[in-house]
Amino acid sequence: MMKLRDSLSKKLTVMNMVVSGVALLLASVSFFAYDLITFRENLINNLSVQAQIIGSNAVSPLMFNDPQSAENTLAALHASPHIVYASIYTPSRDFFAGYPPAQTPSAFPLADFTFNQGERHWFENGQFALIQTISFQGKNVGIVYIRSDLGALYSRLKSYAIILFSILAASLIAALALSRLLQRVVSKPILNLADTAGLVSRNKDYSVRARSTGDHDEVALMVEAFNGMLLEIQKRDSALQESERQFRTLADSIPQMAWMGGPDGNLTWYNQRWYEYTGTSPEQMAGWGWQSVHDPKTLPAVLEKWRGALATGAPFEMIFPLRGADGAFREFLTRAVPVRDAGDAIVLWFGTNTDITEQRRSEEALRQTEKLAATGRLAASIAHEINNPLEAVTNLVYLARRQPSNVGRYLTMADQELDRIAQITKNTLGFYRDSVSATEVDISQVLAEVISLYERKLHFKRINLRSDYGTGIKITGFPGEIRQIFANLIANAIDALPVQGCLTIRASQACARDGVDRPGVRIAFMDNGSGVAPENRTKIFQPFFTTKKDVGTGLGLWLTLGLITKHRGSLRLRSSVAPGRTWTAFFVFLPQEPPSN
Amino acid sequence: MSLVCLSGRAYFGRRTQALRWLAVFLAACAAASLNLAPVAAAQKSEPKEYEVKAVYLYNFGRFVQWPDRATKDDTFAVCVLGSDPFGAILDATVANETIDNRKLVARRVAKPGDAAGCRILFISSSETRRIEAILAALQNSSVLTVSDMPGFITYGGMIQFVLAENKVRFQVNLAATDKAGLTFSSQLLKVATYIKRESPAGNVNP
Repeated sequence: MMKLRDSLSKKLTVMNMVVSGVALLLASVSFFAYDLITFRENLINNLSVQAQIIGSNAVSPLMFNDPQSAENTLAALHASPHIVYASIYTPSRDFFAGYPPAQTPSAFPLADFTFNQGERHWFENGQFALIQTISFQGKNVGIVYIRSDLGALYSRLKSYAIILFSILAASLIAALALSRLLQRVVSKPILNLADTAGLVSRNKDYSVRARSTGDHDEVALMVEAFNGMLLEIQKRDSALQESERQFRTLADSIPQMAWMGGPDGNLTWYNQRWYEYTGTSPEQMAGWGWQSVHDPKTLPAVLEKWRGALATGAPFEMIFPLRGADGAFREFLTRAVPVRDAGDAIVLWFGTNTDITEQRRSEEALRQTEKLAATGRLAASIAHEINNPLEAVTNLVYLARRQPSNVGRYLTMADQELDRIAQITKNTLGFYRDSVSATEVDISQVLAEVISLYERKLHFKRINLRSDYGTGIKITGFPGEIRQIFANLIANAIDALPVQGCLTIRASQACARDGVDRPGVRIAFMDNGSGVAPENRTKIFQPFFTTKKDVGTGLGLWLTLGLITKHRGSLRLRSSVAPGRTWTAFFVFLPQEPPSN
Repeated sequence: MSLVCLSGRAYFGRRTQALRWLAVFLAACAAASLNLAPVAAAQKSEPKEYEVKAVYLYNFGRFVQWPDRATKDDTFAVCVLGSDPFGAILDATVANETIDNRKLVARRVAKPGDAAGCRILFISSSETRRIEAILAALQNSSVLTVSDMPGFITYGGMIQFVLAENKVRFQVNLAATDKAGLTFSSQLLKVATYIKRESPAGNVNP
């Protein structure tokens, strides 16, 4: 504070000194310059007068050719110490007499001088030189030449310099004293204000107020504005604190873990839930300390993705396990979004970790439930499928018993029916023999098997099935899951189709259309059933959404989509509900390469 | 006029030479637009004694004040009494010159009585024997008397030419001028080699 006080008053003093010094200097210099010019003119005038006196005294010596007399006249110049040289020339520019006396005659100094010029003067080797015509009664009788040193000018300059410096020194001392006295009027209120401002910024205490000066000048306005600003800051500060408190309360009360970090990825804040779950301390979590609660197996992938998000500013979303205080890992869905300022620069990252272990478990339970339901439905379907050949076998056995002559033929036929039953049983088993690892799957064959399971239903509804799935289209995957995908889509189509409806199933080699060239197989299931209303086209993939209130669980398509995603494939839906032209098409793409575990 | 003729005849040999010099002198005068060229020219080619004297004679007129009773002619006459040593030089010197707006003329007079209308009277050394009578005759007139005869100022003459170091100089008799009512400029006295005054204490040599 002392430094500031010093510098402000110093500034004012220096300003005063500079202003008065410059003004004084300008005034003095111009005054002296004017005086010097006048003095120079006076000097020339004096010299001219001297020349005239010499000239008029030299008239008779010139006219009566008496150089001695002229020199006697010139000798009087001894009284003028600044006259260093003088000489008289005849009208024909011949040397006549000179001063100082007894010198060798010198040549006429100004060749181009003519009598009608009367007088001329110039500077020569630091001396004033003047030349003047001597005229007498209208006649030019000679020329006088006179030189004066600048001693007078120099002594004048010297005395001016002394005067100037004395005046400057005296004035500056006076200005110094005056400015010391007067600056208090100006600087005191400003310094008070600065003190207050320093107090505020040091203590972060926005309740203090600057003292009013009682004047109505700009400083008073500044004090008023400053106090107004303080009041506003105080209000905003408390509002901010309140908001901060609310945010902390909210952040600490949500079930998720939440955190914040700078644009560089250094995390600076975690909510209470984080510390409770991980059992860590803020010191352990500082910066990149969060890595300690990660599973070392997933950490590299997390770090890579997090660094990528920091670099691009794209939102971060990932599922990874975090170790709890009990040492057990739980699955968390982690989301982080960048918060940007007005200039679109990232100021902080805000992230949450949501425990999805329970969700995962319920999803798993749901899947099992749907599997059981599907099994039930399948069992009914199988019962129907098996019932027919069994009835046939029963009939054939009855016929064989009644007509022993034809036993061989009937037994052969019964054998065929039993083969069919064996085939159905075998196909059914495929649903339950889930391979641990991906194996080669013949899509054509799986389709044929699944369609055979629904043959009776198709026949019962007299559905016109057109299928073209070729032979030997193979991918790598889990056969049971692929079977279930197809079964679900075909069952849905059959449910949607009216009696004598039309179902087209087509499979072909294809490439994915998502930018990356991935070879695979595209299977289309098209029906001219009731169609899917536009508002339902996304909902049908959500669990528990169904339009078949009595028979559906609402899990079929959700499960199907899950299985396709697991195979890194895609499912597209196109549909029309235009009256008279309703139809639905599901396009399944399954890539050739093995799905990751 | 007969005197002039006589003197002309006496100086016949020198006259042609003088005329030639005069031509040069006049040309120099015109070139320098200057009337006092003789002084200047004197240093280049030494002018003859009477050429200098003629110029001096005319110059005296500029440093002397005549009393009001002096003739109020339109002309300023420079006269020569006795045998004329100047010849045409004097006429050439005063030609086209004025003093106090009076035109200068050169005149030859035969006797002192004729000199009453003259401002300056040069008394030739041929009149040495009659000098006292001449001066006595001019006593009441305001004529500046000049001569180069020895002892002129002791006879009561006003300005006497002398030769000093081969230069033409002059002496002044203030007693005579005072009597005649003529006033000499101090400038003139300054260059005089000798000034005769009434009191012996007044003798000043500048």
